Amino acid sequence: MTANLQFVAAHPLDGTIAEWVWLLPMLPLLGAFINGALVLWPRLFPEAGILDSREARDAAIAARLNGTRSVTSMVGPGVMLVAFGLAVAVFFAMLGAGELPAPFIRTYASWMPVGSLVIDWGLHLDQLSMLMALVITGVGFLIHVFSVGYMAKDAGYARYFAFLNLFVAAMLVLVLGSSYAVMFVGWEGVGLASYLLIGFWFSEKANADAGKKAFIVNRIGDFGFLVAMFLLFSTTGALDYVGAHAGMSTAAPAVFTAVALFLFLGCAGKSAQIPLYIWLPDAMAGPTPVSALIHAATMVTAGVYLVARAAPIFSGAPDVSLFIALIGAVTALFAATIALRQWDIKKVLAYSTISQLGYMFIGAGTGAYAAGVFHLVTHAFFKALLFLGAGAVIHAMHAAYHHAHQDDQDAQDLRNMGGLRRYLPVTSATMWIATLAIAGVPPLAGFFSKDEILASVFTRAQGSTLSSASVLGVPGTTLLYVIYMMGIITALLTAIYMTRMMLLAFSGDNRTGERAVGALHEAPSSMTIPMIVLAALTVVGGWLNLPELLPLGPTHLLSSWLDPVTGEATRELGGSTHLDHSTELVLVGAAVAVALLGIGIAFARYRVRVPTKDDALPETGLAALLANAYRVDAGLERTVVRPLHSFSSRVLWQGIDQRIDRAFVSGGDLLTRVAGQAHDALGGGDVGRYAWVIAVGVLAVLAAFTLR
Amino acid sequence: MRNSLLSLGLDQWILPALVLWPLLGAAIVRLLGQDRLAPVAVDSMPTDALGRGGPDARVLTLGVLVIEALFGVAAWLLFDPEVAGWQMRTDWTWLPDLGARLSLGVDGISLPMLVLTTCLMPLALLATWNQVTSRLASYGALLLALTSGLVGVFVSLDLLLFYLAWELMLIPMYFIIGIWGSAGRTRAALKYVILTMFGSLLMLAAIAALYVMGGSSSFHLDDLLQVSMGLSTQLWLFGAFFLAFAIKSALVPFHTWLPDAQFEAPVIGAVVLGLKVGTYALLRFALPLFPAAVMHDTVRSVILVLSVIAIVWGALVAIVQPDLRKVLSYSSISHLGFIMLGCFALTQQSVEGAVMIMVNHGITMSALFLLAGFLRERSGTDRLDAFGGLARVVPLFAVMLTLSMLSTIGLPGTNGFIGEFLVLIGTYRTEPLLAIFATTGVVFASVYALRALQRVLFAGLDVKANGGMRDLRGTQLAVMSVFAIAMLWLGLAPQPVLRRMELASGALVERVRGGADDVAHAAASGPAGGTGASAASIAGTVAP
Repeated sequence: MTANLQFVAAHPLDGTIAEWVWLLPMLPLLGAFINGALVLWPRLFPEAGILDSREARDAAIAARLNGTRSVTSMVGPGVMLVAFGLAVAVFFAMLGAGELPAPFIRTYASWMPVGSLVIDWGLHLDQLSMLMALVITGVGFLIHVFSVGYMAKDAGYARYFAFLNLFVAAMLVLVLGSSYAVMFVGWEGVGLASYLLIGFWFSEKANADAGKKAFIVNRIGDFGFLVAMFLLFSTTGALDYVGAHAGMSTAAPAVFTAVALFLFLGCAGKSAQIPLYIWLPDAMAGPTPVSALIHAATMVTAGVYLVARAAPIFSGAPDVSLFIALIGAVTALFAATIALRQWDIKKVLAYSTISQLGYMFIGAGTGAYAAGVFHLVTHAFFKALLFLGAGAVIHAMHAAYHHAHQDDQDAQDLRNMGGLRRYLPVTSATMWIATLAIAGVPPLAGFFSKDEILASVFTRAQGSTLSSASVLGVPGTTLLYVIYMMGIITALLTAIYMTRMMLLAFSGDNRTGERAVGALHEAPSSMTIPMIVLAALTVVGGWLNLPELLPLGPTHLLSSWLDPVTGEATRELGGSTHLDHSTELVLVGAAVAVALLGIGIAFARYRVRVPTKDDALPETGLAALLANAYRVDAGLERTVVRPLHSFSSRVLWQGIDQRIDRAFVSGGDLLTRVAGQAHDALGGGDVGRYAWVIAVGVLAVLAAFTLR
Repeated sequence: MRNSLLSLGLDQWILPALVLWPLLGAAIVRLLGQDRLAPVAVDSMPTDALGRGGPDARVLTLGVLVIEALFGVAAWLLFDPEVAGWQMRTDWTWLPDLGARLSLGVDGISLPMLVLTTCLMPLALLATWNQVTSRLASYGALLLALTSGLVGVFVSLDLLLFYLAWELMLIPMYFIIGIWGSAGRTRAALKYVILTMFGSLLMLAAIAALYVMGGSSSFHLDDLLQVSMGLSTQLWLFGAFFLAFAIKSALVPFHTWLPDAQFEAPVIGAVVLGLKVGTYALLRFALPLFPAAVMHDTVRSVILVLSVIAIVWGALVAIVQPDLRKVLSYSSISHLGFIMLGCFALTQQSVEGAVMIMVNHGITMSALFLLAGFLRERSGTDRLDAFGGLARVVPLFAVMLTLSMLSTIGLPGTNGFIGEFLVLIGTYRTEPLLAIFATTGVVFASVYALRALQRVLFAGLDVKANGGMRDLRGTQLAVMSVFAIAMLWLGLAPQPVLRRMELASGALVERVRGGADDVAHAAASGPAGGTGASAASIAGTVAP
């Protein structure tokens, strides 16, 4: 019902290239279809005569797949390039249209019309979804290009690009969908793609397990998302953003709280926040470009997007917002401590991602939605770069070990690296840029976005709606100062663990081993060029949203761009409090000092010799606790997974179901004997004949009745 | 299209044809069909030397079923979504002394089930073509009789006729399990028959009571709907109907026969057992006939809570099953909980969702049981630990199994999502707490589904013999593709189906909630008022 009203007024984007927005998700979907068809084609239509021997068949299929490799290399990144071009064009159309009076909404078909429930296939183009679409297609395109080099020798090349394209399509549905229901399609769609890609090398049980874990933990979050939708529908009668947000304006505060909490459960699942973060470290089992695209730059930030999208709801629940900021802060600090003692280069980055996502939720939770989204964007640049760099390192290490016939060595363990700077100069340089950015060194992108989040926490600690809210009786002001402190400590730890990772990998003596070291080499240009582009974005990304304090160009570009979407909610939660410049200067100075201190500590601590993985002694005490991520997985296994399993097996199944069954069977035995005797009495014979006797008998009786 | 079919007068005889044609076909197949497989190239020895001659019974059966499916499609085309009430009615005299009539008709709730059933049967037969090799003529005839019974259940408006069709399903199914099933078939078949019979007899008694209360003149549903009953009468009769349908549809705690029967039955038997005739009958007869009983607080709470228990129970037990087929059966038990929840939550969304699950379940579970059958056909087992790493050996099978499993767990974009989402969102409006508990089912579902996928498709190829497994080809591939298309189509664009069931579901919800109101008013004006009043207050608060 509400959907129809929006078409009454003319929209400045009517008839512009924005009408083609539906192509954005369709292009990668097309790519997924083409690549999927390339995978399945040789199986669907095998050449005649090769079915007899499995070896011959597999060889023939592999040969045909190899033949289409160049098609995949064109289609996979190609659709992304076109999609990015289209996104840029739509973006300029939006710039050209000036002030948008309302979001640009297009409805294409009816999906689930049932009674008062109206769910349409529709897209919702506004400043927020536009920004997300640009990041997804832009960073996505770069990672697709990187993948061409990274996956070049993989047998599942086309399957990989089919899944990766599918992921982007789902991600674009997630951000562009016009209702919570359509967003949910993308939400679970990216989960599916993530599942398929984490378990991409499914022949290893651990990889398949990791995919499964990711999907199941995400489903716990999806449970929250679903319940939030039910609540929204029963309260407002609508699920599209415009209708639902309008309907919520008259809802009771308790409804705001409930919807916000359930939605946040969904966010915690997708964006790996406590307590649902446990799937993300395991997700590193997937190919590294996947980690860059899905588990760093885009999918895991969907939760932040959701909070920003539902800002009118979250801002109506200040207690929940405060709670979200607290969860974000705790997650950020918790994950950062774990990252301090990880040896697997991807695990360091995984925990770092969890930690940075926590930062984004501090921003989104304190109502600084634009700051949260700003950090989302800069993080997409520098974390994607770090993962791609890690990919280049692993790629080189792997090839070197393979060359030296040492395939049993761990190509991802920092203790086996060292001194890689000499062999991978481009990787080393670009990764250092990203490291300084994430550590918060000005004027790199991470400095600005992180600083804006921390500043907004500090600002809201006094005289805002949030400061008068509370979580579990603790007043907002206290909590906000605690959150601020946690943010600062996290920044310190971030600088330490990132510098530690870089030093262990790229500096000092090489520990790869004499036989392998000669084969170490820089990645091909298909891999280094995307890294260089991302490094450039990492350098200039901060200019997207400069603070007034450092007017190196136009300030607050991003905040004012997003203002039509989230501005009102921000003001509702933040009030009109402002920091004076001297306080702000002190805060900025403290943040920079902390970053430099962290880097210094790491330099002092990790310029020592480390033993290789095989020579390393087992860790003890706190180090072991951190290295094992506080043993949370083992604890959950013991307290949740196994009890549930044995409850299902011993109590429900064997205890009750089978007992009911046995009762039936013993009763049934008696009947079988009786029936058997009757059967013999009828002269034995086969059961089939018996069937016909019954059937004819029934028909005869009926006929007798009917014809009477 | 519709008009040209109407000009043939098809709406006058399509339903009797749908019921009677398979019966006629059963006779043809039994009399003319070749009972055994043709011997493989033994010169030109006449087949009479081995048995009766004639065409392969399977081919004949398939022919009959394909024509039946075309009738089903014709019924779909003839149906007018804008018209409320029964369509394509026929009303022939049958037993004038009793007042029983051959009264047939469809509405938006029975139509999807009817079309699903008629289209499913030939597909299932094709996919299991080589799995049954003995007594082909009996097999084909029993399948056709079973089809007739199923169709009869969906189109009967006369309760006596319905009862007859209900029993007609039972007998062929007993023999299909008992003759062509696996090792434990006799016991499983007997368990199935005894339990179902028990329920049926209760239902027969209730039908008889209704008939007498209605003046002993008609068994027609429309007439029996006019019978006015007090609350306690309604409760007793509803109890009898409910028990019959709950057993048939394997609602916890009457569910233990289903995993056994589906495990022992030949694949096609498992597919038919998965069709939701029990819950259909519940929606068609038990709900509108006894609105006050349905809306009775205690009764309704018990059933709703049982539904939620079924959702969680089925899913949890599915997690620990060693065989793929048993995982599927317990998954069905879990799905049944969603259907029951939707039926008794009684909102427009929940009821349409329940019917959607019935349809989707028929598609998805059939696909899964067929796939499990393919596994067994190729390796002799479907124990999960007998596999692993099959995705590389049989990728097309892997794609189909993955898609079907995703549909089972309700991934958006597949048909499974539509039904579950509608049931839950509709249930939330009247029973928020139960809806939240029910929603946990989506988490447990992902556990059992992904575990089964993982055990079969992923990790290492532990059993070397599986390395030579054949992938889906030819007919099996074609049939599975039809299922795949159906799953995606109903997931992305379900509204052709939703549109057709809109009026019927709305009328049902109104009838039950309104009917409860009437009884409540009657009771309030009489001496023993009170019990129905709260039901009425619920009825008043829910908009469509």
